[in-house]
Amino acid sequence: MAELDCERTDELAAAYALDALEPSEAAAVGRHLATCDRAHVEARSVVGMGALVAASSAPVEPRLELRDRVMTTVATTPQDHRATATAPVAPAPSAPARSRDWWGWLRPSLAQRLAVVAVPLAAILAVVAIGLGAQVADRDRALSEVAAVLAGGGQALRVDGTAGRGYLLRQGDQATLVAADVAAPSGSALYEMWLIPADGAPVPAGTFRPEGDDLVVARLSGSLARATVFAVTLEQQPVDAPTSNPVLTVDLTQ
Amino acid sequence: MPTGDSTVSEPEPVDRASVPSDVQLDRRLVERISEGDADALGELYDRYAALALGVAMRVVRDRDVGEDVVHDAFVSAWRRIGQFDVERGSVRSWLLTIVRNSAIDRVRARRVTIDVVEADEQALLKTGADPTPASALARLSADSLRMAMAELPAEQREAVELAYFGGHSYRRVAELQGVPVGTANGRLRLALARLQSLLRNADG
Repeated sequence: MAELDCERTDELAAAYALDALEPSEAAAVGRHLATCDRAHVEARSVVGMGALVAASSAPVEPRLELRDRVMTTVATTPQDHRATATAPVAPAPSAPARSRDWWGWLRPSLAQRLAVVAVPLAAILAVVAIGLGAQVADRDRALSEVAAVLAGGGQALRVDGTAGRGYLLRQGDQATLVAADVAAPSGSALYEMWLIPADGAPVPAGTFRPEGDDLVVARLSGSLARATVFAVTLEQQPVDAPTSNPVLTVDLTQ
Repeated sequence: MPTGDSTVSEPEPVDRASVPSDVQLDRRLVERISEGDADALGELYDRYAALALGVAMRVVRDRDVGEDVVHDAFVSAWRRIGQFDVERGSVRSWLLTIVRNSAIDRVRARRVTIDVVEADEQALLKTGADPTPASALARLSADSLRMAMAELPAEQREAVELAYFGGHSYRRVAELQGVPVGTANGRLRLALARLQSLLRNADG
């Protein structure tokens, strides 16, 4: 969608706050508010009103067993920020150590239901091209826009981890990673993608280096035919075997 | 029976300053949850599960599905608590937005929404100098908010409910209400402006 002027942005602000815009419109409003120097008092004042509308709902007491369900799940669910804090430091390039069976770290929580949507890969890449270089406030809308282009023929698997989030867009045995908020690595370090078959050994599937706030769009090399898990690690150089724990993962058996 | 026992003393007056407000209670819960205290997540659940289910059921209109939504929302809050900034918004607002978006995802299978932790409110607040008035109003009670919604003109309230709980775009709201697109959008603008005014009065 074309960029909006200030007047149109203010006109759409209420609908934006209530999540009542098409993804492209919402992206345009978000872009404008994130980059415009004008106060946009009305528009900025209504951000968050959606949550207040939600809070006006009459409470409904849940069944007693729901609390137990929540607490049981929580007991086996890692917190993202604590996983980051305990992530191991990658070894120096001169002495790369092979991590043994780190894919065993992939806990059963990964098998939780993920947002699975169908989308033609060409349409996604076209949308993503519009989103590349998007402003900070727009990345999320661009991602949802990508995943929302649903027309059958493909599959979008939600990718989560400590290094960002996004979707692995799968079409047959080929796939492309689309991710946001992936931190640019320091020095010559890069992210390496892996396809892990059921019998264990990760297979290299390509590398990428995000630049600033851009969305990551990385086409995987190799076939997904035998892979059960997709993972991303941070490496000092392209390697044949991971040297650290994964920072992004997804279960491909969904 | 009074015996003149010198150990009996008058109860001390309540120091209101020492009684934590809801906002302070929530902040403490967020801190504890961030430290991995699952009991704190349980306390957050006890505070907001009923309201969360109320929100979920306004969207999905099914108790079983609504409870699934609430379950997923609290687990998501546990996982992503490190991304929530207490200085930028209330945990109630954050949580209820997770619930609403998850519920909308359920009823609109072709639409995927990103979890609220990455949503516009946080992003826009990061680009602004100060928290928005909506955040300042977030401490208001649910009763105040319900009363304010009830005071909206019927067509504005319906437009808001179709948009927010129905997950409809303002164009679709126009179709459903049988009015021009501009009128539907105008109803949403007027509704939010009216709500702000009512809530500011309620806040005193």
